[in-house]
Amino acid sequence: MTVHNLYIFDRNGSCLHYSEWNRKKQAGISKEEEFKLMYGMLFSMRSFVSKMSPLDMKDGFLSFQTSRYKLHYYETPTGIKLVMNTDLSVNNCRETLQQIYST
Amino acid sequence: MAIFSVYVVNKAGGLIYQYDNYVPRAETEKTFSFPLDLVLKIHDEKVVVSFGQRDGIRVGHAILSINGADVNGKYTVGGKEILEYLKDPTNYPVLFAIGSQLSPEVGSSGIELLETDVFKLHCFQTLTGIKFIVLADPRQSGIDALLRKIYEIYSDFALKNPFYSLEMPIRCELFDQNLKSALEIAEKTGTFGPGS
Repeated sequence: MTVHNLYIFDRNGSCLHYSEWNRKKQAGISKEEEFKLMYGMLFSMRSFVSKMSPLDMKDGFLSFQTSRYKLHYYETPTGIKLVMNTDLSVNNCRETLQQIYST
Repeated sequence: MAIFSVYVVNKAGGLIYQYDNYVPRAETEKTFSFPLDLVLKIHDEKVVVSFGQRDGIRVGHAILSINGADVNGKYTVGGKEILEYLKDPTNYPVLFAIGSQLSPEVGSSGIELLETDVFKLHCFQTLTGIKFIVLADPRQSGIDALLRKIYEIYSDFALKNPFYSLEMPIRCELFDQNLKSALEIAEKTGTFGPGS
């Protein structure tokens, strides 16, 4: 199981923390722009999910995966967003992200 | 129904096919007296709840019928405008019933699987840029095979149809029929045999 990187955002969109362990490909844009892009994507994803959902939801968007990586998302009630990119073998990172938040 | 909807998106990002299969329990019936606890507004040709929540009716729900008579967008079958009708206190007899419904919208991306606590969204992108999107229950399995099957049905009944032009909305009966039966098979068994 590989963890590629971890982002932590506050509720206004500024990146509080970023760590990288095993990232194969850089984004090609500056770190600041990458944070804004990531935050914008999460924001759009959450509103997309809330509109598409056929039933009323409790937690909302949890994770997504492509053919190469999986992105896990955890949001606290105060608006802090934790995002972790891992490889595909991981099933559920939610508890890990909750532990990271509570320590 | 464990498979909620199927969407097909063309290369430019336009929706060319949509099939919705929501669970009927998204409808609730409620009896109101004057004044209404909910604030209603007109959105997209439907009367929708914009504020106020009560007993299973939430923001975003649309009015399906009043007193058992189905509504037609903004107007009741009798031709009266719904909002005017609901504002007039003389229209509220002792009992008053409203049905409700959820209304969805569309998006797309290069993601293969998107997970929430209520549904899983699967996306299959072909080499020609067509995207097949399936919204299903998180517990439903075999969706990958279903996506390949929908691609097969698309190439058999939409592409081979001489009257269908590429990237246009799909209006082929055989495509609809075969899609529905493929969805039923997927919900029951979760796998497909080698033949169609």
